[in-house]
Amino acid sequence: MSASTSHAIQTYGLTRRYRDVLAVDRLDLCIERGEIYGFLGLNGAGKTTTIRMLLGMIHPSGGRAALLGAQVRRGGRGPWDHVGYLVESPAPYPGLTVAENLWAAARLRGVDDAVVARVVERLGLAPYASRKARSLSQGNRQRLGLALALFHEPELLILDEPANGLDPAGVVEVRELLQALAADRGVTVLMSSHVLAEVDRLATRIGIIHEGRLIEEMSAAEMERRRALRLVVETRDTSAARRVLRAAGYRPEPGGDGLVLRDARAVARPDDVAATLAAAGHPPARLAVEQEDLEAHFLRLTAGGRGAAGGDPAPGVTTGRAVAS
Amino acid sequence: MTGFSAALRVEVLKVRRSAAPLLTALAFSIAPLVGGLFMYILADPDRARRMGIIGQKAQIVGSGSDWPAYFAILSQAATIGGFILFAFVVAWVFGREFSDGTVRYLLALPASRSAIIGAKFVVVALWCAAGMLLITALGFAVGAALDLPGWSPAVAWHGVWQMWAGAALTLLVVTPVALLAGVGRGYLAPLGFAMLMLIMAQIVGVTGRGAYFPWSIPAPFAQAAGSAGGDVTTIGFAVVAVTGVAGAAGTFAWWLYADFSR
Repeated sequence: MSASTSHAIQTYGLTRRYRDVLAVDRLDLCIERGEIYGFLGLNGAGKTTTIRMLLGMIHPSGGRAALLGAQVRRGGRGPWDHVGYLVESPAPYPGLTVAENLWAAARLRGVDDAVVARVVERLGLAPYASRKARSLSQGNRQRLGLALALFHEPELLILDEPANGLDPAGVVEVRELLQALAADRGVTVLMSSHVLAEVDRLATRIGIIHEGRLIEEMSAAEMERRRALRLVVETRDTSAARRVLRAAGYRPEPGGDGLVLRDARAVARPDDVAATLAAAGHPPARLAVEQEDLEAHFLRLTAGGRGAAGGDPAPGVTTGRAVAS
Repeated sequence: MTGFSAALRVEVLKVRRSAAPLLTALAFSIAPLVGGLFMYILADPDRARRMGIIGQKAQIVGSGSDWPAYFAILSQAATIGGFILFAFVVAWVFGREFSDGTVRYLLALPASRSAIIGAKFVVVALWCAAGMLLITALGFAVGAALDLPGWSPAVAWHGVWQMWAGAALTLLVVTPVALLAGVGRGYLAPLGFAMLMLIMAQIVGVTGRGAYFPWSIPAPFAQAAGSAGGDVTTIGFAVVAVTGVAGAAGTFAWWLYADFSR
């Protein structure tokens, strides 16, 4: 495709309005080739509308988009030879078998059947090749949806909820597949997902869209920095404990119901912190090493829209209350 | 029309793997079989009286029991019944993509949307032609089995021409159904539109304006019983042609420029 740009996806003030509803509001995305971009947002945030605009399925009310250097125009020729996509849930032709669905897609893309056979093997669809799509399990339907997105070896993959319906082994397989495609062939992946842990593991950059606007973007490195471990300490006398810890060379900050220490030595040796406080007559009532994960971060950022952050955190997710933003 | 042949192969596969062709084949078979039954009833006036309502209906529809009368019944079937069946075929070919959600796989492809829509129209034409072939072949078989009088090559040629020309006119006026399948995103709107136009055709025909209403024109052309439209004029043919072109052009334009938000 075009070698004139290093951007796989670029949007300029991309906007979509449905009467009084601003579904996407002046979205400026710039995704480099080879990136795995996690596109996050609550239901109705504008993710799928954005994806449909990128694929030329919806005409923007304002702004424009370019994929692989080619402008996206409604109904027009785009860079579709080099783009694979899965929009919302997969919907293969129910009366066609897995093999026939792929055969049909291959005809429309002008791709050899040999290429199709490879992706069937790679996604574990070979045992189901002669099964009608309507009788597939949700997981295998998802695999077929991914196969339809991948079989022509695209340079750019746009995937809406790629891990939807997959069992844990399937999630790992797809993760490894996407990582391999990005690493080995420089494939760019834009994936929206509600499985934040999956995005966390896979994405090299994350964008959070809320009420149609891109409210935050961060790289994996930045994400890692924000995920830095910290020691949360709660005592009966927070002020006194703070003085003791300062005197011991720590840098405690108020946070939550106690203190937060980000010092590497405090995180590495919380027992030393406990001993210091106990020796000064302020033994910790609670001492925990915590980490803000992507989910907590996401919920805090989008709290205004749905009150999601005000609710209980998901099981196994560290609460964001002790995190300095 | 990049990718047209590929799109055509794909559309043919979708049709082959569906039960819809079998269902339409059964529906297309009804006309020659019921027409044959009417010919059998009308061959004997006493039999027609004994058959009660069916006999009365046979007398209304059929002018006699011979090949010209039988061809007239088949021509009516090709236009009035054909309209419903052709509309079903169009609604299935175009509307199914929306009801099954498969339309999303047709929108961002190297094969152009025009090629895909063109292939769909060709499949519709082939499907309807296959239905007409079935009516024709079954009609000849049933007529021969009943040993209908009045056969001659000229009668047969005239009957077949009338039947197929009526079907061609009908096919032209179902193209707006394809547009409605897109606008309505499924089966319901196009089939509802087809039923409405069928009713409107009867009403407009009775008012004497049938020559200008596209859906009233094919039936008079096929000399439908009870039609007040009379012979089709040049204006009538033009109206049908314009309707066909407008329906097809509207369908192409809609697929090129509409938003596919579902």
